[in-house]
Amino acid sequence: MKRLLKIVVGVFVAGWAMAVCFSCKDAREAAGKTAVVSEGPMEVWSYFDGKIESRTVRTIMSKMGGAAALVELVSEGTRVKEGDVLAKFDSSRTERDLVKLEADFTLAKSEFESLNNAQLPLQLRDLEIQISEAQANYETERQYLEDSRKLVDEDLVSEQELKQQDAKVAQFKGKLEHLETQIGLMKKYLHPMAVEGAQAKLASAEQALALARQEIQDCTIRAPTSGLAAYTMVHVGGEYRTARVGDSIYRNQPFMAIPDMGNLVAHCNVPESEMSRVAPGFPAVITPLAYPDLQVEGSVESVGTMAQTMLEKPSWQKFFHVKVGLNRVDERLRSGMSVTVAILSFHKEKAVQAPRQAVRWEGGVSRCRVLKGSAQEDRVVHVGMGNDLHYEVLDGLKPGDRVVVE
Amino acid sequence: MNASLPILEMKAVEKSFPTPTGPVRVLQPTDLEVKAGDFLAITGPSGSGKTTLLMLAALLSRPSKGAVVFDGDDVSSKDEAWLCRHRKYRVGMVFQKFCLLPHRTVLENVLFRFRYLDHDPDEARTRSLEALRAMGLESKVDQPARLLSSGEMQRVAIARAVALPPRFLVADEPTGNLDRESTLRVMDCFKRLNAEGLTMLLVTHNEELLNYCSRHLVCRGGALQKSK
Repeated sequence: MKRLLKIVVGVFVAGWAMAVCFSCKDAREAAGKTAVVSEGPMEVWSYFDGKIESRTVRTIMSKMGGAAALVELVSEGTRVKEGDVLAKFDSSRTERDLVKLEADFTLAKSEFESLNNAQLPLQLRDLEIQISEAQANYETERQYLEDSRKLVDEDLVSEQELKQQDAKVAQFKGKLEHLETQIGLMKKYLHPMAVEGAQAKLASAEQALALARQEIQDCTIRAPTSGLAAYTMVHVGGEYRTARVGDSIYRNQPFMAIPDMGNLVAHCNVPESEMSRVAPGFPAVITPLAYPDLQVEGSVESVGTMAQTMLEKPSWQKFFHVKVGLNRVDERLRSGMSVTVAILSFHKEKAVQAPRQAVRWEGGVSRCRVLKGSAQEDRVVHVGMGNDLHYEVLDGLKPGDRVVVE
Repeated sequence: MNASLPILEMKAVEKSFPTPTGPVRVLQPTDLEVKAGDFLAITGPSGSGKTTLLMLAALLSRPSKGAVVFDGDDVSSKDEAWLCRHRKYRVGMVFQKFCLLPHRTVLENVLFRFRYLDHDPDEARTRSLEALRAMGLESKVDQPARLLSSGEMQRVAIARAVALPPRFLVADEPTGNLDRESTLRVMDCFKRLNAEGLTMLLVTHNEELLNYCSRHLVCRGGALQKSK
């Protein structure tokens, strides 16, 4: 019995002690665990993992016909300027061809000029002279025919001789007509055809020469833009590797890329639950993991229109691709670097702010305990955006209110 | 060719021409012999058959009957081509009307003699110039024939006839259109050519010219008679 009494007394004492203890805690809260609702600038930053890439990557490929051997190649990672030599191909065969094509072109040109300025005019002139002679001969013989007719009347010329002369006149007339037909056909068909043929030959030779000269130029590949020289993988001799001097590269086979390091963008994937935190035009700060002290400002350029899954994430998680442009270039930046992209999702110059710990959620409703003198008032508040420390209070609190911090 | 042989022989030669009322005999059966070197003159009134006789002698027509033998060849059996060729090479003809081409030069007129012959052009030119020189016309070679006097025109016609030396020269009233002075100059030319060996037959009305000839026959009513 005594023992039972001891237990009851012990429980009572313990209860009392606990009551005293809790009473002391309420008092402490009332005295020190409060915060004042403030008004001032407020920012909400959203952080995403991403990587930077060149906005444009210029692919370098061979323009040589067939396969061409590399004789020079810039080292990978070299920072090149526009116009710098990236690679050279063996041009000896093309140079040999060029000599022959230059000779062909010169020959075709001289043939065309000779034909146009000498041969054809001479042919025409020669024919014109022949026509002139034939005309004169015809006129002479025709006159002789007329004269002979007169002398036939006088028996000085026989009918047989007259027929002979008549035939001669016909012969000269025929020759004259033939020559006139010849010159007509020559002017209408033969000469234009010859000129066109020579022109076509010349144009063909000129084109072949221009192509060879272009090919000589194509032997040297220059950087189309400033950037870093990056080798790409190629199939060479049964291997899949980067190109080396001595390799044969086929026409249009890419073997190098020049990312434009003067124009970088950051790519990141934003969970669909945070889509409200990003929009085109939002300011951003990009920080490479490799250089935490380097912060490059930028802005959101685009937000993807179609949700995508990611390989390393559960399939139910959806992300949207966001592209952030960098406002400046830093030499330390490389294409492919991992970065943290901080996007300024919210900013307000005069926002009523309450500490996150002062707001509690009950049944989907946000509430705060507000000090009213020595007493506390439990009040429903309406909050907006929140950052790591504060919520913006849209309704229910006013600057200067003291709230109990949990 | 033997000079004693006759160049031209006519044996019983007759010439008739057809008319609507029947054939008209212009030349009676006639015999004639012209020897090499002869300068035979035939005179007679108009219509007596002189020109018909001359045409037969110059191989310009064929007899209706009888035979014409020229240089030993009986021309009656020859075709027109043969006659033409022999006329060209062997017979020279001079006419009263000259028969020149007025728009051509003197030289061209003479060169016409070679027109239908296979002669070297240079040789033809040389022979023509020689003939003109012989006629005293060397200064006129480049003049158009129409600018010459009548006497000069006839001398051009003679030069044309003899440029290719013929065996036989036939002249039909060659001085009929000429004044006296020109007539004498032309006859002098004929005399000189005859003296050089050319056989000539001259048909004329002008009996004054008979002095230049070696023989004279008269044609009357289509028949030849010896002159009195």
